[in-house]
This record gives sequence, C-alpha cells and structure tokens, in this order.
Amino acid sequence: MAAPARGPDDELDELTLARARRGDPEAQRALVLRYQRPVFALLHRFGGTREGVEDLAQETFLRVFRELPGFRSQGRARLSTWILTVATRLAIDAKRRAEVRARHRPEPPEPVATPDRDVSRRRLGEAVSRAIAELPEPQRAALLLRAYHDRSYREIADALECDVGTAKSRVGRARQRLRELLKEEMG
Amino acid sequence: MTDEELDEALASYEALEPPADFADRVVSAAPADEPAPTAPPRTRRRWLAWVAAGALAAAAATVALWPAPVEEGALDADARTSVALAGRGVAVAEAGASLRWRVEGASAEIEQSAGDVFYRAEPSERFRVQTPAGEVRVRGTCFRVEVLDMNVSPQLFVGAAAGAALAGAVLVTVYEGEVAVGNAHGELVLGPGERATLDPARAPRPADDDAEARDEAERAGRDAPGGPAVDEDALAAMDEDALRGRVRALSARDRERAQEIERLRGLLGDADLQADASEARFFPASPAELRQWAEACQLRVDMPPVMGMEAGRVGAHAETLGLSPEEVEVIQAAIDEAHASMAEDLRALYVEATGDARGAAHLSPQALFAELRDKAPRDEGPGLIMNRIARERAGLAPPPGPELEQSPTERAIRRYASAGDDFQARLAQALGPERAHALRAADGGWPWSHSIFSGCPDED
Repeated sequence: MAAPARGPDDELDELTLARARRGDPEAQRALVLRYQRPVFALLHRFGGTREGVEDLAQETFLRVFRELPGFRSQGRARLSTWILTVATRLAIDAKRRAEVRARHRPEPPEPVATPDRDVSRRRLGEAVSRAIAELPEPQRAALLLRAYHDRSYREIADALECDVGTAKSRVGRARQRLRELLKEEMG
Repeated sequence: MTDEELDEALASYEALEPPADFADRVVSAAPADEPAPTAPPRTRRRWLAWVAAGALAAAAATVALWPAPVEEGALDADARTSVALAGRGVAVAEAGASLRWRVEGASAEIEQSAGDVFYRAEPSERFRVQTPAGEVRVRGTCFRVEVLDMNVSPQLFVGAAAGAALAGAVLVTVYEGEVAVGNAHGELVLGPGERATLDPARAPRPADDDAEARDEAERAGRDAPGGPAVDEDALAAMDEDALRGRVRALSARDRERAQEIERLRGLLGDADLQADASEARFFPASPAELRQWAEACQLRVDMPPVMGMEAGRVGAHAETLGLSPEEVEVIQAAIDEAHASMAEDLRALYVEATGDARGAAHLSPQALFAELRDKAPRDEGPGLIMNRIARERAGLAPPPGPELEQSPTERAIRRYASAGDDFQARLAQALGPERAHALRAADGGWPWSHSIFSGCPDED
C-alpha cells in the first residue's frame, strides 16, 4: 500500500522521515539539507549574527532529531512548520537570554554581503533588517513566519502558542510598525 | 506605503545561506547513542491522553511519547538463513552460525559466537557485532564475520595458513563501506576489500597474504561440489579449469546473496511504507488495523472542527478535498450543525456532572470535554474508557451498555470519539453515503483534527 500524500510536495518524503526518526545519519542529513535554508533565513532575520545563526540552527536540528519520534503521531502537521516552530522558540529564548545579560537593545542582524546587487535595493534591505529588529519579539516572529515562510495564521498561532486572532493582530501590527519605521528611515 | 510596496521592501531583505558543510556538521554533532523511539505494538505504558490543542480549524494532533521498541532474537542456523534485523540490516547466516541480536530504536547489538555470517547494515554507527575475540562496529556496509572454530580439524585449512587461522579466532571481511574492529588491545578501521583477524590476545591486525590464501582455500573447499574439505595437496592438484570452476561457484554464491539481500531490503522498505501509511491513517481502518490499534491501547479520533468556541471553517481543505462550491456550502452548514450539537451535548453533560449551568455557557466544547475528562470516576479513568472504545471498535469487547449506566465522563468521551462517524452520517444525508465516505477517506480521515490516545489502562 502506498503511503498517503502528506502535505505539500516539498516536504521530506515519508520513508526518509521514518529513517531519520530511527536515527539513520543519511536520512538525518537529508532532513537538514531539505530544511536548512528556511531555518537559516528565519534565524538570521530574527536577528542573528552568522555565528549565532549557525549555533541556533544546529541546536534546532539536534532538537528536531531528539523529538522527531514524537512527531510521527502528529497526523497532518507539516514537518516544515514544526521545524520552524522549534527554530522560532529557540530564537525567542536566545534573544531573551541575551537581552537579560546585555540590557541593551538587540543589534540588527548582519547584512548579507551581496556586492553585485543593486545599491538601492541593498539599502532598502538593510533598512528592513533594522526595522524588523525594532519589532517586539512576538510581532517579529509572527511577521517572519507569515511574510517569508508563508505559514497560515493557524500555523503561526500554534507556533507562538496564541490564538488565531492574536496571530493576525501581531502580523497586522508588525506590518504597520514596519511602514512607520521605513518611512522614518527612507523618507 | 501600500501593502505591495511593503511586500517589495520585505523581499529586498535577503537572508544568510547555510554553509556547504552545515548538514554534515549537524549530523556529526548528533549524539550517537540517542534512542529513536517509535511505538511498539505491545509495550505497556502509562495512559497518556493528549487532546488536540486548539482543534478549532487546523489539523490538530496528539502525541504520545513512546519508549524505544526492542526486538530480540537468536538463531542457531542449520542451513543458510536470512534474518531481518528489525530495519537495521540483514544477516545471512551460514549453517553452523550462532547469533543473538537485540535491536532497540536505532541501535543494533549482535552477539555472534560461532560460524560465518554475512551482514548488510543500514548506515548507522550503532550496529555492532560482538564476537569472542572483539567487537565489530559498522558504518553502513556489507561485511562478513567468521568466527573460526578452534577445535576444527587443521585439514580445513591450507598449509602455512593454518597456523595463522588458528591464532586469529575471527576473520572480518569488508565488501562495502567502513568497519571498525576492536578489542581491549586496539582498533583497526577497514575499508572495502580489506580484512582483518581478531584475536582476543592481541590487537586486530590486517589479514596477511597467508591468511587470505587460507580463507580463499577454505571457502573453495566448502563450496566444492565434491565435499567440504580440501587439503593442500588437493588444491595444488587442481588444474586451471577446476580453479576457474571454483571461482565461478564463489561468484554465483555472491550473486545469490546479493539478490537475497536486495529482496530483503525491498521487504524492509515495503514494511516501512506500510507502517507509515497505517501510522498516518485514521480512516478507513481495516479490521486488522482496528485490532492492532486496540491491542496497542490506541484510540484514534478524526473529527470536523467542532471543538472551538465557534464552528471552524472548511477553509483550505476545500481545495485538498476537491470540493465544489456547492459542497463547500453543504459541508460548512454540516460543520455548523455538528458544532452546535457537540456544544449542546457536552454542556448538558457538564451540568449533569457539576451542576454549574452558568459556567457551562462560557466554555468551548474543548474546555467542556477537558473538564469532563478530569471528572472521571476514580475506578474508571479516561484511559480505561478509551481503551474499551478501541476494543469495541475492533470487536474485542462487547458493545457498550445502556447510556444510563454510563458516567458523564464516559458519555462525553463516547460523544467525542464518535464525532467523525456522526459527521460522516450527517454528510451522507446531504451528499450521499459514497461521497461522504470518499471525502473522509481522501486524506486518511477528516482533515481538520486528529487525535491519538495511547496507553494501557492497567497503568492508568
């Protein structure tokens, strides 16, 4: 009997997932390769330096490996959403720990070096990165999951452990605040 | 700034790319001995009922964390025998081989006390073969372990190789991948085409030419049509045609084993897929699956989005279920009705159990259900009730008694557990039984909410 279709086509196939769950290193590697880009993107935009992003991304996947056996029974929850949820919560925890220690506003994430890119677009991207870094963490997380990872409000609500209305409101407030900050910066 | 302009600005913010070796670094940092538990069918465990949180509209789910499954076995082979090692690999044991194995999660431990066994191991650092002379650790490979009988007649060995063979109690040959052999005296890593002798009295060492000659000659003798024992004189007397014949015989044996391994690997793969499919499915369930779930103390519930304060929406599932606009309308109306009915029934049970009509009015069906579950009689916890429902579904227990004899908790759980069937019946009236069945089966159960309640009630 063939396995039923589970979620979007770009999710890890069931057999590789089953093997990763059993601790098969090749399957675990396939899982990391499949989801590393969105995890890096989320952690970087959440406000991490390259080194910090790599550390948190590694921690994300190690936690995913550890908790993967429990994911089997989660029916139709998307694996990618679950992994992004793990990454988001680690990012929030890490930011809070860092802020408690440093008692200062978090630095915006490092801009990505893209020398051949259009200058005005690069400036805009840097302005967006600074503006996102200004957002309160719950708003920031909700906005990133919605704008860059195309998660539904229900998925965002589950990831951030809030109700759907709160998730919508956080995204809305984040977008409004971004407009204001970008207007101030770009004129 | 318009929405489009803001979206464009957001798109201009590019993110870091992972370094090329990131996946390798993560995998190498993963603890090697960490168990990868899955659900064993008969393992006793505490009853853990996890209700799908926020089952309002999404595919809510429940999870029980399971102990790692353990599969143990033993074999004293009197003929060539293939053994599937619980998904961790395959062993092909020759007559006279003796082995015991224990597979727990991702870890396979094998004790080979005698004989000749060919192994095909799934990639893992937790596949180990213990021999009387030391340990063989495997990293995804094909290899052979031969525990040489110390009492065997030297006639089985050839000339000068006999001494080396007797001194080396275990011979390990690697065909693919990498193997580490070791004992208290040291360790040696072998690649494809390499072999080593393991001796309890010294560190492992590469098998020298003499040992290789002995090994080939021994195999040639064992495979020879005329009998197992070939002495030096007999070997020396063989002409080129006879030697070529032996080479062909050996090659044929290797091909036969390779085919057998592929067949077993195919079986393992099919078993994985079937297990995954059954694991993920809630509906329809065959009688065998219902029995399997009941025996594993597992109750599966799929249902429409009726447990929130308000009825859920058909939402994105309209597309995944392939619904026409008219069907969306019909199904949404059915959801609204099912929600109202569930809320009414659970409120009545809550009032019966607590007398608190005012409180009931402000609770969602999910909250009412949770409250009622917590109010189960001492001698009949939710686990016992759920297990009984699972056994009834499987035909392993008689149908329930009269409702009047059931506690409010039991009636609430039964109401909850039957929500999927009730919804199907509701839709069957509007869309016909075949369409209702097909919609529920399309994604292995109603797509809005799934729950698995797991655990055996004797430990409730």
